[in-house]
Amino acid sequence: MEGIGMEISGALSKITEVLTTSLQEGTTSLFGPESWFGGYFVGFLLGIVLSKGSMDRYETVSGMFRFFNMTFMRVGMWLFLFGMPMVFLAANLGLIVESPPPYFKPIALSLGAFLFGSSMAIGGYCPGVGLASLGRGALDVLVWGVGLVVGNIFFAEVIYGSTFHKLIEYVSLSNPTWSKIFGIGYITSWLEIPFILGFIMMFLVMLILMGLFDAMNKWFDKTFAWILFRGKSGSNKESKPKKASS
Amino acid sequence: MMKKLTWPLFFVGFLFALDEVLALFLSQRFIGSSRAYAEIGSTLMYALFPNRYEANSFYQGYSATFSWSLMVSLGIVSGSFFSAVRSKKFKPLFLPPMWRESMGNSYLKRFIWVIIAGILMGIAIRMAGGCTLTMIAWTLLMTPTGWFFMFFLWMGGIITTFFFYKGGHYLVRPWRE
Repeated sequence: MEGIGMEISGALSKITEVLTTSLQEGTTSLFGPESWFGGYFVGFLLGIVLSKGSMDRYETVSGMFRFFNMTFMRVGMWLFLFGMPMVFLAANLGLIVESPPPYFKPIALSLGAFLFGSSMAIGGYCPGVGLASLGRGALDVLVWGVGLVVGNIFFAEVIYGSTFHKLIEYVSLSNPTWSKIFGIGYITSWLEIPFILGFIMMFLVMLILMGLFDAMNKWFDKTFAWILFRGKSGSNKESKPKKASS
Repeated sequence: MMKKLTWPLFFVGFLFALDEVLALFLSQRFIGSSRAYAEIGSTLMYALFPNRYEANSFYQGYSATFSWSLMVSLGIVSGSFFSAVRSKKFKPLFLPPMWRESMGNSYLKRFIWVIIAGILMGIAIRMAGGCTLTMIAWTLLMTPTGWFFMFFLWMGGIITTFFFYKGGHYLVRPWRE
């Protein structure tokens, strides 16, 4: 019993040591990659944005995969539409520092993303959405968060460095960007502009298509839903409307 | 403005983009919260199993620390809480209403599935090299990485939703917009 007590106090003292070191490194300025204030400020704004875009709930995530709530897609389109030129301008004006893009590992990336999508469909949260949902009062996020930490430890202990891990990371392309693929420089090159304009056009077309999809969905509901959802759980229980008698 | 339940989505997208640029300007980092979970895991391993922590090179990349990412995560929770309280939509609940509609009222069932989902997501994030927030940043920086991630995420989500919610609950009427 005493041994367990010693172990717990030892673990707590190590956690305190980590906290103290991090506190010394992180609380000196608003700027810099380790700044706690900078991180908190950015996160606080993001929390408000996620909340005001209704991206703080299971319903929005699961609704996206059930094809009737396109909030994420719409916000994503607007985000890329505004964000691409903003990042490009900020990089060219010297406001942000160019950082090299990650190694592109197609097998690991596609497998990981597929698994990510699957877990998102089951749990209904991704890391950002989960935290915003917690702020709105979704308590199941706490359990989900414990799972996430366990998943990370599982990866480190079982998958990291294994043959499977080496296999999926075998194909690795160094730092590609769309423009580099077509033989042009990185984000600060003015030759990026045609790419950005092309993407903006694409996002606008996709937003229009999403609007059409929604209109079609509503028309479908109005015209055929009484046949498809008759008597099913969660359906609107109304029967076919009778013709008004003259 | 703050008391409104939602804002127009183009405005939300604009603010999101602005926040991404702000993160790059203030901290020379992309917004990302998944690193925080890895660092919490590393801190636990450091505290409980220091020998394993020293032996595994994974923990050198995600060392035992409370860093910027954790503060971003805390910021997201408090920002969302602030907004929810201001617009009077804060409501503690364990079962999301649409889950209840699709999978029933069992708390245990939700508990089990949500922890499985969490574990799978933890593995998936480390396999792919980041979460959705990181991939959004890579897409903004004109790399194909983000696009690949989004496409396979979408595939995984749709296929799993179809089988997990067993088709019959696929189109839950009251939640249609």
